[in-house]
Amino acid sequence: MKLDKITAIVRKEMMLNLRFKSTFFGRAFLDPLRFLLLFIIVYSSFFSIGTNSMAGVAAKKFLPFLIIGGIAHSLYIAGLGFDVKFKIEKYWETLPGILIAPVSPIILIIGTGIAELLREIPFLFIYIVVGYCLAPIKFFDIFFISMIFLLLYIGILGLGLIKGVFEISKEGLGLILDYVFAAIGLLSCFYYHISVLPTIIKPLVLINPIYHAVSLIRAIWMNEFSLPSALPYLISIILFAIIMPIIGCAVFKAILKKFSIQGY
Amino acid sequence: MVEVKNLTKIFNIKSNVKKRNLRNFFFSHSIKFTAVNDVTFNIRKNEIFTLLGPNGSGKTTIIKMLCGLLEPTEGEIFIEGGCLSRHKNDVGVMFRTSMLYNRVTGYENLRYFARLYEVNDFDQRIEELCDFLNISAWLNEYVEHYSSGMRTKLALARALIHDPRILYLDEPTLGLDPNAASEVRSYIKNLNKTILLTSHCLDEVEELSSRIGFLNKGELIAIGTTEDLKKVVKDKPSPNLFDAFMHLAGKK
Repeated sequence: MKLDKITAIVRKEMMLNLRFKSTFFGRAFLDPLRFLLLFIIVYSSFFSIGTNSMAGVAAKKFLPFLIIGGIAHSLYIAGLGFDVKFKIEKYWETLPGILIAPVSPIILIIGTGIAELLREIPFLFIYIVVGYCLAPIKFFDIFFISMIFLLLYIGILGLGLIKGVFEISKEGLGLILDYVFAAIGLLSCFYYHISVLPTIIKPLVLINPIYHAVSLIRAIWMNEFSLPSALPYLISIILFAIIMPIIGCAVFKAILKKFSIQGY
Repeated sequence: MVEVKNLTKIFNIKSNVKKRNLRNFFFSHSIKFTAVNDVTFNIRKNEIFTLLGPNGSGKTTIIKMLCGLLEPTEGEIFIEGGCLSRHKNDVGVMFRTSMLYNRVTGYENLRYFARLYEVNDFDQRIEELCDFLNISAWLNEYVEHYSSGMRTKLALARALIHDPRILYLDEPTLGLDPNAASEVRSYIKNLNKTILLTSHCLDEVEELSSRIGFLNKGELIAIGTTEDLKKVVKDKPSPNLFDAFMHLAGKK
């Protein structure tokens, strides 16, 4: 029966999204391109003058490097989208409907997560195909990479729920949280190599599981992967996918219980 | 069926009074506001219990606490002796705001909530409710195109979709024309459910209520039948509910 609740949330989200189809598909396709194109222009302009490598990125591999970063970044944005959803529902005054219904936060995470993923998947698939054409890999590796992307997305959904509940209960913290999550995004090295960052910041990058997921996917795609050396990172990503939604649900319940909906 | 014991809700409100000049704009101070103060009552099985009181007396705050949307500062709520979280499926709520998604159809709204409440034969349930409430013809239209009367009926259908045993209705006929209000009233009257109602329409309160609790400034100052409440007015030979309301609200 929990599946019914999940499909209900997915269906509702899709119905709301598909009300304005051009916005829906346009955003899903163009949003990842915004950053991707920007970095492609920067990197290609450097490599066009004959440089073989720049800031840890090889000229031959920079497009797959950026595409992987672009996909991870898209999932990061999609997973953190709870705040926008909750804010909209807050002003539509539909939020109490789901809060008083017998729906646990984990169902909310799964339902909303699937709905967002369904929106992103066609375009992410296109990016993977483009990446495959530029740097072919084994099909098993594509499956492995997809699994890591999925784990990464599940963990990010947990972070998103934390961001979202503050939008419900402590709206004033929204901007601060935007900056915090933008900083986590910067520390995830979606579009650049860790070597470009100042030494003082590197430890923060190394404790960020999102960075390890992105690095691991890049290593697999570029044939620089060996299981023994990657195992600790793989474990950290699995733990991130398990622990983050649990923390997200706990924070969601605690904050709502303490502060309820601010503004009603 | 529903027991409310010593319910209190105190809000920390950031005071806006001193912000009128720029010097104090960045420095706000909190004040404690007691919205509900030590309220105790119970609602018997299949009765319509009405919370009556002036604006700001705490009626909606009590409903919000009863449905789990607000955490009480003090006090307890029991449903059939158990805690609220175990009885979420037994409770249906209709607030003044409809809680409906305007950008999807009426059917999609009802289907969504039916699935959240694990209603098995939801299509049949939707059909039954909408036929009864006379909104079937509009079911496949976007809610944004509904009139306020139809929206209220759809909100009522939403609250009833899972056939709850307990219903909290916060001003269910607010903004309806007399005909639509009468339809909704007769529907509520025949529901045969345990209902907590709030309303400012005294005719409605008198018609529907088994018992009334009168709230003023967050305190439950009187409880009883309509006739019991009328008896508090001593200076009129045959007082009506309006006289009782004015008397209890301290306005006369």
